[in-house]
Amino acid sequence: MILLLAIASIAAVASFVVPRRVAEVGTVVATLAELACALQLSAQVLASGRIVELDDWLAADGLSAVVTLITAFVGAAAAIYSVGYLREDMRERDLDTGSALADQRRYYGLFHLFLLAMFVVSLTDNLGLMWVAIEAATLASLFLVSFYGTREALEAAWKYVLVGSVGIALALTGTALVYTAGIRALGSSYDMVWTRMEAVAPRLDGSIMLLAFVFLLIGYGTKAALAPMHTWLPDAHSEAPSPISALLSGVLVTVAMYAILRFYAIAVPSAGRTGIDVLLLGFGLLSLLVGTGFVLRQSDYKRLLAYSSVEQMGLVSIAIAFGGPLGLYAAILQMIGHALAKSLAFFASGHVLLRYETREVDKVSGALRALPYSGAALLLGALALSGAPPFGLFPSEVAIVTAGIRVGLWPAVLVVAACLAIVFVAIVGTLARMLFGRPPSDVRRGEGPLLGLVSLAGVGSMLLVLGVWIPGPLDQLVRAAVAAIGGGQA
Amino acid sequence: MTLQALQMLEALLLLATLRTVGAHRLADYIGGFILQSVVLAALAVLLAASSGAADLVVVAAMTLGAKVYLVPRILRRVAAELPVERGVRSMLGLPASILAAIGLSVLAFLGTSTLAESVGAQAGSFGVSLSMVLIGLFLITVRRHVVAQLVGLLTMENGTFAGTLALAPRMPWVIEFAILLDILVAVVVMGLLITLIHREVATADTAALRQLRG
Repeated sequence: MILLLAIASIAAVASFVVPRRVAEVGTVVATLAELACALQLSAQVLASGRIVELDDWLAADGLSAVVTLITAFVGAAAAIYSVGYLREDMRERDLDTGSALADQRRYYGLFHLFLLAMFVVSLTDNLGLMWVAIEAATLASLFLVSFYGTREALEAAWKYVLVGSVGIALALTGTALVYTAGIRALGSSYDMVWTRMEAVAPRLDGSIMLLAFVFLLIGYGTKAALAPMHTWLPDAHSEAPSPISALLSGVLVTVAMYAILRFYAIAVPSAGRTGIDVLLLGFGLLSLLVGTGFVLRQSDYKRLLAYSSVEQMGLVSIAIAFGGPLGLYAAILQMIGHALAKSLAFFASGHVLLRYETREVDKVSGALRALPYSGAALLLGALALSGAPPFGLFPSEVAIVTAGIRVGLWPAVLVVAACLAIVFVAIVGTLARMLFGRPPSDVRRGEGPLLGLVSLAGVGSMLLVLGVWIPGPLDQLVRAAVAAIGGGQA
Repeated sequence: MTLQALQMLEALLLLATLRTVGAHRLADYIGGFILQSVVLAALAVLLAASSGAADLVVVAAMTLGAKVYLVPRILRRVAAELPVERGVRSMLGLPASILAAIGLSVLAFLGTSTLAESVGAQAGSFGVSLSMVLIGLFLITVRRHVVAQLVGLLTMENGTFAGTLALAPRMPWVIEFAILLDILVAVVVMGLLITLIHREVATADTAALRQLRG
């Protein structure tokens, strides 16, 4: 764990000072090394259960391992993709000299800071530090969102940081309340270590924990794309450079959901499941409905993908509310599948954007002919996001519906099923218009950057594999994650 | 004796918060925030004296350094770079704002009275803390000037800090330090963004930032 964080920190600092080419190579090497560390960490967790390092500051169990893997995998793919994408993008904007090169170095520096902060979130055992890291992730990604410096990008960045900071302030209140709830069991001065709080979870103050969970769900839910706190998201996700969109949409929301799951696990034993499930179900259904509604009437394909995150995270929240081992298993599987499918779709749509220079769905046609590989990847991503079999999200969505039927929440199950059907039609229908047909004559044909295609191939094949077969170790890891958050038993 | 002093300081804290709600000029917003932070530092010192917890003195010193000196300095510098606008525009007039803020406090006090008993804390402290969080949120929603919104955000955080002082005074100061550092970075970064936005759109009125919707 220490090695992983050390690589990320060194890469962050180094990227600010070294020449651009070195920064590019360094970024790719560093993120691949981080991925290797994450894999090794997962193997360790599988072998020995929990690992603690640095005196309780760092700890990893199944859930941390899953989220760290997601972050490292999408992070590495985004790093490889960034190199090709930024070079071509900057060349087309005639920005490959002087200060623009410095901008690119800053891009890689912030990129690593962003990843570092998210790794800290999933690997720290200290709930206070977790808050600090999530705030740091917001601040690091802020100037990545506003990277293009246009009026729209700055507006998106302002909304992002303001709405995000309000969320984070509410989460801080929630964290402070959790501390208060623990005083009776742990004494007036204690370190907010998750493991220790989990051990005494039934003895925490139930009414305060419930209030704390309200603040935490709204606070971290703002980051996790839950409606109605999602207003910043479509702007930030659509204005940011495509690789950053993939990280924001695939990883940041996952990391925020991870924080919610951590607090869920220590809140349930004292506050009981009823109140917490009502909250999760309420925000989940609202997100699902809002996300579905906006996906349906979206004419900008990057915003369409962004709203699909709202809908997907709504599903995750509903899955947690349905609960039980099956519901939680489905929630985590859904998070993995969403991270892969969403980053694939953003990577592929980034290449489309490079060629067509527009984000309007109506102005893009024949993408499959103009960019055969990226077009195919976009089709794959779209099918996966809409939950079509045999791709990654199909099994988890079936599991969510099954979990709902098991607890007998029929109205919720019906809403979920209806929304999934509508989203399927909306996403596939919209993207099919972009993919098929004849490209406009003024659009330059030819694939996107080669390095980008490498990322697409990596993420795409992973998505395909997970659709038909969940490897044994991954299955064990997800089960360990479910066990870590209490397996859904109150 | 200490209890009375404590309650006085908490009342002062709420007044300082209302001061920002009733403010028209940017300087008054920043002044209100400084007053809040000074009172918070005094609260921490008082608690340190009464409970003998030395780390609260450290917390008080950090608060003074960060929130009374550094943050206001940055805020003033950001405000100075922005065009001179006649006061802070708002979606709600000042008298109505103050009434709304008082309403929010009443709500906060009502909502927390039973909860506070269960942890054995003073009902007042919990109420003041939640009031500040709500009022901060209110400022962010109705005020249209970027710096005023930033002060709203800082008020929310100060409210939480007041809450931890009252309910969990022995929280390790390392966490408090990390939080302060984070806030400092946040203010610097947001200030930078504000100046960038200003260069691009030549206004500090967030109503101008309405292009992205749907």
